[in-house]
Amino acid sequence: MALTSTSIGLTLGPLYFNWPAGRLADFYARIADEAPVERVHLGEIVCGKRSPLTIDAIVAAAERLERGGKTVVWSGLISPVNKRERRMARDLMQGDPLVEINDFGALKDRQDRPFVAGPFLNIYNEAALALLASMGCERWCPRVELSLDAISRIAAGNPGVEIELFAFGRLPLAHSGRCYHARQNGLTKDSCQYVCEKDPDGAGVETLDGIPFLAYNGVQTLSHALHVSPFASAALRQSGVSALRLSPHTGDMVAIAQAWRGFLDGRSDLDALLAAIRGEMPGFDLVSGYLAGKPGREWAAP
Amino acid sequence: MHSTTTSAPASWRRPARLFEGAPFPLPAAPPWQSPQLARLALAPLGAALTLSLRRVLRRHPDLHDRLDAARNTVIRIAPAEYPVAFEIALSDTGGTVTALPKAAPGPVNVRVEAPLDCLLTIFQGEDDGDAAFFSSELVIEGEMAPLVALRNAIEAAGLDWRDLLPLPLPPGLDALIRRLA
Amino acid sequence: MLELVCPAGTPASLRAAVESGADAVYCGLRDATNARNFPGLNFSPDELAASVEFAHARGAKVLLAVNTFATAGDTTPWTGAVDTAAACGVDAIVVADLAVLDHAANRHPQLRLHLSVQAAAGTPEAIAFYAERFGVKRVVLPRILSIPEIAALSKEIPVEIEAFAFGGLCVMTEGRCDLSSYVTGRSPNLSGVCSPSECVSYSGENGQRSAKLSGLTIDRSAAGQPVGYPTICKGRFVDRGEASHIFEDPVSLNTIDVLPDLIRAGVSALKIEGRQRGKAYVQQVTREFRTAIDAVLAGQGTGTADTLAALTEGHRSTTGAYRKTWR
Repeated sequence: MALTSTSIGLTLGPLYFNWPAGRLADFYARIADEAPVERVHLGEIVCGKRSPLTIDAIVAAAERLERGGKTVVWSGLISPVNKRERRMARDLMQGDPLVEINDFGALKDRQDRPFVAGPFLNIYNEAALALLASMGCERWCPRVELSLDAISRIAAGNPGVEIELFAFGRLPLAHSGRCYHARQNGLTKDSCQYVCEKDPDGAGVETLDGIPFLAYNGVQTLSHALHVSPFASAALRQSGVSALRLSPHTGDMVAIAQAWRGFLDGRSDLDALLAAIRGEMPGFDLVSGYLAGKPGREWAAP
Repeated sequence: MHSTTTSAPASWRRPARLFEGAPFPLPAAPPWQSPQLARLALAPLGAALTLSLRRVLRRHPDLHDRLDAARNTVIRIAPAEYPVAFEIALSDTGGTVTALPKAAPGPVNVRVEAPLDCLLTIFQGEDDGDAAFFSSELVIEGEMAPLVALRNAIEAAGLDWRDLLPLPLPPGLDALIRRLA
Repeated sequence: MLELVCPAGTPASLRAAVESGADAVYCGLRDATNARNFPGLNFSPDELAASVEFAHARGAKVLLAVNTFATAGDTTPWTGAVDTAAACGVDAIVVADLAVLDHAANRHPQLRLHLSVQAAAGTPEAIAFYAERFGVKRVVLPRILSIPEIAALSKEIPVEIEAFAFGGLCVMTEGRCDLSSYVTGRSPNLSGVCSPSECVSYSGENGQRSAKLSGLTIDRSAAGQPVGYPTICKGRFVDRGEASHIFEDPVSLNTIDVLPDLIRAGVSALKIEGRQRGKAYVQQVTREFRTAIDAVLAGQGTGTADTLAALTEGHRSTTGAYRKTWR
């Protein structure tokens, strides 16, 4: 089914995890050829130490994706911590391609040219988004803890900004200066040996009662469970949402994107979508509480 | 006294203790062996503290909003050294304090237990309740919110031991005590 | 200039702070406009006005924290808080939200703006953005920077630096943490609280005490062991079969040992955390830091960090990220 102007679009969000260059190349090649997504985010956003390892693979992936008809968006670091990272952020912002800003420091260098506001900027109300819009923001991916109700109010107050909802993946919950992969392996961030590579979906941790709870990924803390937006297209459109963001995990993202496309087009129902997700990501609980204004770790039916 | 795990010297840890151990003995006799008799024996103490509570609430109408989260709950405070506890129940119009055996059944929203002098120094704002909590000298069981509201209200009111009395001291005596303090 | 900035959860604490030697005191109104929205805590507008009068008469400043993010659909509590601050004559407001900064800069251009740690501005570029756009005069730094990093930063920014010197430690970048809302539905950014006390409960069984947040166990220890605030980042969790404080131990920040380094790095204000602590805490910490700061400025040593140990979580303290090995 062709994407109509009122179809909810699909975006592949930036990869949070440390995947080796070979894996990245294969991954983005398949996405370019087979995934029903219009946009793909590239770039390291969690830890600036990883960028040199993957930059070549990412640049090649960009070409491949553009040849495959995808729009590439370059995502900036959530928290640049040294001169090199700040310079990388500046170069990214001053370039031509479309970028995603995840830290306010990048705004100055963007100089009122178009950008996507990422889910790591603190935008919680209409006026704040309007300010960003006046600085060039054309699309906003809300903070994951915002309810759909709050998002729809902000959207209503900013009709010129596209809203892209985080709809699939482990929830990014916190960001630190301390690297938890290093800490859990008796190392420090400076001498980390890139141990985060061992956990391509992040490293899950449980409570003392054995309940799966959180996951660490370098300096980032995520939910153990996968967040899934349970809303069909009509509800999304009504809330002002025009696209969904799928966060890359080790499950077959092509199959997952296809399952989403089918659900959004009305060819399959929510149960089918959830079954497909569970099939690709066995062992992960599914949650959706945030969108219903509840604790993020709950499942709230639409 | 509970021991603490800090290696810091005891002298500066808190202001000089009001007293060491149980300041007055209790008879081992029958009242404590029978819950009903115990409640009866403790009733006057509860009545006196209820008067104190209502006096404080009247003198500090600004506390009304601060006590929101403590209203319509049961907060039980117990000195570690005695088999008694004090239940504070605030309502929209006032409140009551009930003195009862420590082991009496609930329902209780939150229980706090600490050495008596610790409770008094916290009440008078001379000690930081959190420090006692961190050292486990003060133990909490149940819901935090009513206790936090109560603690913050007591802090804001700036109370001392005279506010525990059911009636205000005669003005002359009160002035004398204030001059000596 | 070196300001000692102390917390006040109630007017009684504010008076204690000023009388103990604070150069400035920060407080909040009794609603969700600030990040210590605890039951029974904070100031009414009248209490704020009276406190400003009290402080100014003794040569101390009052800063009002309006540092949470205004909610979609109704930003009036926040803009109202800014208007109240201006009317009460506070010396500065501490803000994080773009919309609140915009309102303050436009409607009250004479009101001094400090950038809250909740804005997570830790690079020269981020700080410059707020300085140029809204006229922010001071930034409260996230607690993830080391002292050499602060020193480098101070040379590149046009605003004053306020750094945390004592008290509760956030191990996650402030303003960028949703751990609390993941478990309870409420968080610093959404509601001005982390691990809201309404969701905290303690229970004891078999000689062990459990701290729970909305029913989820976040720590358990033998009765009698020191404990800390039941925030998720300080909890104990299991990784590959082993239980530990994965994110951070229940410790607090105490920089008395590194005060001279902080001052040399260009910090012009030292912030004591703890609006939710009692006036006894405020008094003791303010006095210790007042003495220490005066000693450093007079060229003497500061003594050791032990004297404040009892006031710290877990009875242990750390210099946190200020020493780079924390990462």
